[in-house]
Amino acid sequence: MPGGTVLAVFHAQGRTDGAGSGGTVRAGAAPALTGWVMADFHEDTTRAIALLSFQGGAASFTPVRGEDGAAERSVVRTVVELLERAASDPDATPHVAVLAQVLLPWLAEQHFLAVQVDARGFRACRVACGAAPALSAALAAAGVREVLFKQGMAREELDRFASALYRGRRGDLAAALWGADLGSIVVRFTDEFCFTAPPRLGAWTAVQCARWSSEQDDLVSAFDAGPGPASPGVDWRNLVAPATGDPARLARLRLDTPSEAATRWSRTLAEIGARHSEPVTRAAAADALGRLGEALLDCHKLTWLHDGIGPLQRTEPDATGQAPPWLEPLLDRFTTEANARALGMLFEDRAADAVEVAAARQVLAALPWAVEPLGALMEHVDSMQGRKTLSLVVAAAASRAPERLVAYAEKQPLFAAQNLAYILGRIGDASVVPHLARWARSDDERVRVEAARALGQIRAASAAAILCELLDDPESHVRQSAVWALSRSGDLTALSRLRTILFESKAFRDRRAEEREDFFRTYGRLADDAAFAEMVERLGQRKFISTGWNTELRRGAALGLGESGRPEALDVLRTHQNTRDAKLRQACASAIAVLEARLSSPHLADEDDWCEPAQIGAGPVDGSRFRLEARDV
Amino acid sequence: MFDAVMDSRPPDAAAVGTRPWPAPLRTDQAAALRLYLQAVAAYEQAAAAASSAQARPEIAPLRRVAQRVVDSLRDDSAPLLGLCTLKGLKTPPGRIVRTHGVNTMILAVALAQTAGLPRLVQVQVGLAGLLHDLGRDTGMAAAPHGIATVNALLRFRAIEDVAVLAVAALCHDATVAPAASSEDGVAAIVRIADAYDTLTAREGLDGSPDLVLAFLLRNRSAGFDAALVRCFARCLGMYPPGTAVQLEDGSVGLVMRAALPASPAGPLVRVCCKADGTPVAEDVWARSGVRVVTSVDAAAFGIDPAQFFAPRA
Repeated sequence: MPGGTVLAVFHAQGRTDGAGSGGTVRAGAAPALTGWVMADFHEDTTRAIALLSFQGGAASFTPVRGEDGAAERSVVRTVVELLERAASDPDATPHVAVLAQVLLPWLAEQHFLAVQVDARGFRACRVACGAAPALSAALAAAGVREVLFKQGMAREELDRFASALYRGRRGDLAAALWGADLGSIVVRFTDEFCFTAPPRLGAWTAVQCARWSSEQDDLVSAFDAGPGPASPGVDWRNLVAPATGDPARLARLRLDTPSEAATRWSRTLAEIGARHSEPVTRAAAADALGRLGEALLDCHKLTWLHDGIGPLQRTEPDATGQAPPWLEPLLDRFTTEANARALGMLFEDRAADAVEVAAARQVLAALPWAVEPLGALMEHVDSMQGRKTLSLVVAAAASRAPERLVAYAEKQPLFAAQNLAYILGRIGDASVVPHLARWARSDDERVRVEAARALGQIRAASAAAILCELLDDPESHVRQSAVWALSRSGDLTALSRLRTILFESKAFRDRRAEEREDFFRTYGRLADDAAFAEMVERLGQRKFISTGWNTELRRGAALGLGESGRPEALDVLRTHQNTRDAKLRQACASAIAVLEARLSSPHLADEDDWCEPAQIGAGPVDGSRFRLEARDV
Repeated sequence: MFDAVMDSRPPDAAAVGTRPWPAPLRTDQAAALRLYLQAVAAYEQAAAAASSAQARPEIAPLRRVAQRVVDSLRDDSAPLLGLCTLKGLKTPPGRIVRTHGVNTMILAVALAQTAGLPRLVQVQVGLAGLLHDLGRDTGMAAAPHGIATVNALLRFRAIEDVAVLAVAALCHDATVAPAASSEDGVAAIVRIADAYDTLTAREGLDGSPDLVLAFLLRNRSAGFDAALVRCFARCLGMYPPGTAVQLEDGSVGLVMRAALPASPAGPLVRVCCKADGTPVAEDVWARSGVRVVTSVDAAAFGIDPAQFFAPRA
């Protein structure tokens, strides 16, 4: 008796007990079988995956009796073991081994019904093995009614089959199997998949002639004015004979990938919207582009939109300052609350595809006219988180034209302008510095605070220079915001200014203790070697009677060393942690804790710097470690 | 003379000349008609879903139809190509169901097969042909139909599935987009198939398939890819299925199967009228090798191609 295994997926309509109609497993030329069918239940219909072993009768399974779950699991184990044996058995026919290799991975995670096949039909019971939805149910849902494996199939074919199954389970399984073009694996489908009520010609009348619209008038005119109603006739052979370049031309015909096609889709619409001679057509194309943009946003494929409209956008003049009409519908759709929120969430999502995020930013950058509607939208959002999300979107839209944001902000009430100042900071580009410099000289203390915070986001020397000026601001909150911003910007040019204030300014001694501490911490964070050495020296300057400004300097130096991030600062701080001065002792302990945390997690991100605008008049809330920004109070 | 060129035996029994006649046409024709009607129904379903606010159209059933059209045309293209003579179906309440999309799909897939494109591409070509005018059937007629179609295609769930189709729909509409790019095979094929089906829908001799084919072959300025048009002509034959022709003995018939390229046997013609104008009711086929003199207006001879390609048996 020849060895071998035949796998068949078949359909047993309407019976869950396995009796009767399900037994039509096509085993080809297989001898009389005593084997097993593995199947699963899908609602009340059995779609079975049959694994029939006929290896000379050598394979034996533990019989299944009744509904005993343990016995059922035992059957599955036995079948899997058989497959594993077949996979490693050098005497097994090659395709059995291949089959086992292909099937084992998903056998392990399917639901199965083990069914015993004998002369009387089926006896069935359910076997649960894993939690994934059954493959056979997916096959049945896709209209697959029979899969026949012929003997002697090639490994490549089985691999293709398995790959089609896995691909198809996420989409159109029937199409995936059809596309796999399998020669030795016959997949049969049912028509009912598509057509619940197959149409019949019945009383229909055939229409032979039709003229559906005037849109083909040009074609019809060309036909009428063409060579005349002459049949190809004697010219036929010449007319249809392939020209010299035809084979190469046909070989060059290609099908766009979905991304290429979608890019071409958006670009074609944009070109029609921008350049078509008919205003109605331009408007329709623009609207279609907006719909496409919304759909691409919905499915996170904005790269395709960006690649499509990008080239056109760069060549589009914008002399009037108005959005090109072809972009307006896209603008309208992207500035709805739902879509703006979706964009913001994309920017916030740290797991999002970086390419997609970059594309979204660039699409928004191509829509600077979105600043005003998005800004207006922010005013109506109640939650801080919602405003934060939207601010990211506004920042992206204003990135190439910050002056638009500034112009808009200056017309807004203060609470709106504060958010917009924050957004200017999020743009993080030197181009926004002149606007923030103007705000930094505002008469309104609150505007200066926001300008300082925004400047802290910008890595530019010009921003640091303005922040240094704000260190002497008459208002404490402005100075404190400025020093926080400097610590965040990490600009070393501020060091000398800070040193002068800390160690030479008399006025500094009269400032609030919290403000002074933040100055020292910032100095420590920015410290270069010389500044670090100076702090070490200051900390070590013991006086017999430790009172007055000298004590404050030592405490400040300890706090600064804690922010320095240098391991050697730990030893210095530890030598002073048992000092008799309680305040200094406390400062050293705090600095050591901060420093150890920084050293153990050097890449630890600072806490998110978003916050509501600081409330003027309330003191900052000190946390366990140096805060970079004000908290809500 | 009449007897010399006519043969009342079934075509497969009249194996004369250099090739055997194919298997009896009627069996294949019934299966093809079933597929054709299924395609029409699937398209109607998709169009209804695309125009409804509650439902969304599904691409999978349409893809299945396109796959089956690919398989059917590969096995034997004549029955489905013959059905392209139907330009619409009038339902009992008087509504006319357009079959232009289905016809374009069949013609486009036939062309893609002749051009040697892979099966999977043929399916995309078929879908592009089927849906290239979807916008017109979804009540979005206010926009130019290429744009209305892309809007309708956005109703499908996955953009990946319809992107190629949308480009073809845009490119085939000469009123909104320039002619299809020379590299864009799907759009170029749909454009040819669309033009052929549109022009063959005209009344009288103007809509005769052979004349339309001649127009496409000779007209180089209409934005049709010349290499593809030649392929198309080779696929349909000089007298495509559905052409009413006059034979050299004066009798008039309907081409049921195009002549194979370089074959002297000529097309398979079902004789409909004798030379004296007498209608021929029974199955009578022109014998292999009989020369076709010219195409004629089927209506002028009272010939209804639907009676032969879509019998209501």
